[in-house]
Amino acid sequence: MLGPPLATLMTDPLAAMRPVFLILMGLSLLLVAWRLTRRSRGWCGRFLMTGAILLAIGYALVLPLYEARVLVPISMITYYPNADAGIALGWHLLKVVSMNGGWLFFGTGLAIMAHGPSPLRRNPQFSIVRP
Amino acid sequence: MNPVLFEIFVNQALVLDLFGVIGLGLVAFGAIRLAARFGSINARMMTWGALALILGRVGILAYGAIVTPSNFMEFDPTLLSVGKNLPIGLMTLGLGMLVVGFWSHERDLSEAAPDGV
Repeated sequence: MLGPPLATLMTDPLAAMRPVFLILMGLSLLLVAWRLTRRSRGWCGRFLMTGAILLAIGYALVLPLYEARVLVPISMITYYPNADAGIALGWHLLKVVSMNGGWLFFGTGLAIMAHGPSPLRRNPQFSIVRP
Repeated sequence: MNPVLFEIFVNQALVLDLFGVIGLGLVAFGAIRLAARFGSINARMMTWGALALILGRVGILAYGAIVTPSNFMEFDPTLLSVGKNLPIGLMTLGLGMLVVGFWSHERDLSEAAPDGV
């Protein structure tokens, strides 16, 4: 009667809430990275933002689709004769590249950011009026 | 498909898994350096989150390398369940800790200097 996610919500609520948690974490990672790097220029912000976008794709799109059993995992493709192997391979490639490349870019940006303050995108405004 | 590309991307995905673990190590390195610079609880939380992520990721890779369909029946089912679910829980909690620490760090920075980092 119920589809796989709702049936899992009845039997195992923790496993059913995990995709929701992953979606929230991926989107908040993207939001925080954008807020952190929107005024900076240089490679730190670019690396951090690239990694955050890739991780948001991976955590908020690909992993919940796999957990909802919309997508067929590449290891289970022999058990689904009606599934298209090319499409499954494409989603598998997207998952692998977005997760691993996302962590690589995000880690590189965070390691660069931890070395010092990044330069600003626009010039600071000076004023003779004491704030 | 090209067999080399098949080995790289599909069969074991060794190179890309290595990239992911190296990236998590860079996240931990940056978080440790931030904790040393700022001395805040946020960067320490990011460090613990990154460590949990590394442990979980290596646990998942080790489970996939050790447990195969041929020797699946030789292990205790409880041990298999723990070995499969513990890295997933570690990765979930580690991701949450990393995001919370990252958010708090960004909030502290924007409160200290609203015009930019």
